[in-house]
Amino acid sequence: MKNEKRRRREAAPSKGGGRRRASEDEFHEFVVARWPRLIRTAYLLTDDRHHAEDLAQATLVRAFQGWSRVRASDNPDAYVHKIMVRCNANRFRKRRVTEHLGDLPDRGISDVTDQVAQRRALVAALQDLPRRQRSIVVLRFWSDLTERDTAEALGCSVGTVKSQTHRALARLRLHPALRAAAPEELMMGVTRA
Amino acid sequence: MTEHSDAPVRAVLPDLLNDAAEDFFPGTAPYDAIVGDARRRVRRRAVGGSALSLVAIGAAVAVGAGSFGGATGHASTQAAPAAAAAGGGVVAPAAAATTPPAVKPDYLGKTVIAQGDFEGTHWTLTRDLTARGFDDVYVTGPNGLRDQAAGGGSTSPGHLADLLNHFGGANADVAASTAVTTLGTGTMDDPGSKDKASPYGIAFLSGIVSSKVVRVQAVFADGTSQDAHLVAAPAGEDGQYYYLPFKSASGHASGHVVYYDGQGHVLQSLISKF
Repeated sequence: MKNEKRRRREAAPSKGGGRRRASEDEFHEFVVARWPRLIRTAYLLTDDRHHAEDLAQATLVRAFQGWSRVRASDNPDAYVHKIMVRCNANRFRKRRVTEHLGDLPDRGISDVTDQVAQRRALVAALQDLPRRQRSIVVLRFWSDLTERDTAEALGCSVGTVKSQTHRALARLRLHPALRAAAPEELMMGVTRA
Repeated sequence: MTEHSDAPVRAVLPDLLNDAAEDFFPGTAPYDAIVGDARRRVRRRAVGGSALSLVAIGAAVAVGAGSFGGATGHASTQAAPAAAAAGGGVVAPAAAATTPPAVKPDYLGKTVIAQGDFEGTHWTLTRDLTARGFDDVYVTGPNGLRDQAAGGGSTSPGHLADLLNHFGGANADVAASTAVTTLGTGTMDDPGSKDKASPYGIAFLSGIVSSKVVRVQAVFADGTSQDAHLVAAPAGEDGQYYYLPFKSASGHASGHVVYYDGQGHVLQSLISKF
C-alpha cells in the first residue's frame, strides 16, 4: 500500500511537468507565430517602436500567465488583443507627453516619397484619435477582428464599436495630415483644403 | 454620414494600415524574456504575500502586547519624502504619509508625495504601492476625484530605478514617466475624461525622473516657462518625482518639458500637450 502511494506521488510530478512542458511548447509556438503581427499592432497603437516592443512583450507576459484561459477561449487571438488593449490603456493613458526628441528624430525623414509620407500621415492621424477609437480602427481594419470580438476586447457593446468606428473614420477623413497625403478614395466626399 | 459613405475609407484603410505597419521590421520574439518576466512576477506576488502575512502576524502580536499593557491603538504614519527643491510659494510639501489598512491582498500602502494649494484649490499627489510595483501615481483634487499623475509600472516595490528602466525612453539619463492631467476630471476612474477641461482651470504636470535630472522646466506655447518641483523618492529609491500645477484654459496648447542635468545641460526636451 505504501509502495503504491509512493509510486503515485513520484508519477504525479512528471505528469504535471509533461503537461507544463506541452503548454509551454504551445505558448512558444504562439509567440513565434504571432510576434510580428502583435508588435506591428502595438506599433500602430503607440506610434513608437520602443513602446511597441514594451507593449507587445507585456501583453505576452500576461498571456503566458493566463495561458490556460487564452487557449481555452474561442478565439485566442482576440483574447490576446484584449490583453494588449488593456495593457495599452494601463501604460499609456497617463502619458500625454509625447516622447519625441526634437533634435534626434528616430524616423527616416530623408525618405520623403509620397508613400512614406502617406503612411506616416496615417500613423500620425491614428495617434490623434481618442484611445478607444484608435484601438477600434487598429483592431477592426488591421487585426481584422469582428465587431463582436472588438467589442469584447474593449469591454463595450457592438453598438459602441459601430458608432465609434463611424466617428473614427470621419475624423480620419478630416485629418489635415491625411487630407494632404492620402489617396483620393480616402478623401471622397471631403473638400481638400 | 452613413456607413455607406464610409465605404471608400473602409476599402482602403486595411491596405494603408498594412503598409504603415510593415514599415516596422520586428526582430526575433524575445521568448525567454517574456517567460522569465512572467515567472519573476509570479515569484514577486508570492514574496509580496509572504511579506503581508508577516506584517499581519506582527500587527497581531503588537495588538496583543498593547492590550496586555493597556495601551491604546493609533494610526501608523511614515515620514513623507523631503522636498529636494522648492520653488514658488503655492506648494507645501507633505507633512506625513499614511498607510491605510490593506484592502487588496497585494496592496502595500500609499505615500503622499506632496500636497498644496493652487489658485485656492487643494490637491494631493499620492503614490499607491502594491506588490506588483507602483501601480498608481495620482493627484486628488476637490470632491475626491483622482486624476492620473504619472505612469505606473510593474516593478519590484521599492526600486524606482526598475520603474525608470521599465519606461526607458529615448534618454536613459532622464527615463521619465511624464503626464499632464487636468485637475478634477477624474481620469483615474474614467480614463475617457482625460481630455476634458479642468473645472478649476488647473492642469498638473508630473512624472518620475532619474536622479541625474536636477531641473524640470515646463515651457509653454506663449514662451513663458515654469520650473517643476522635485521631490526625492522615499529612502532606498534613487529617482525623483516632479510636479507642477499650472493654469490651463483649454488643456490642449502645445509646449515642451525640458530636463536639465547638474551642469545646466539639456538632457531631453519633450513636446507636450499642456
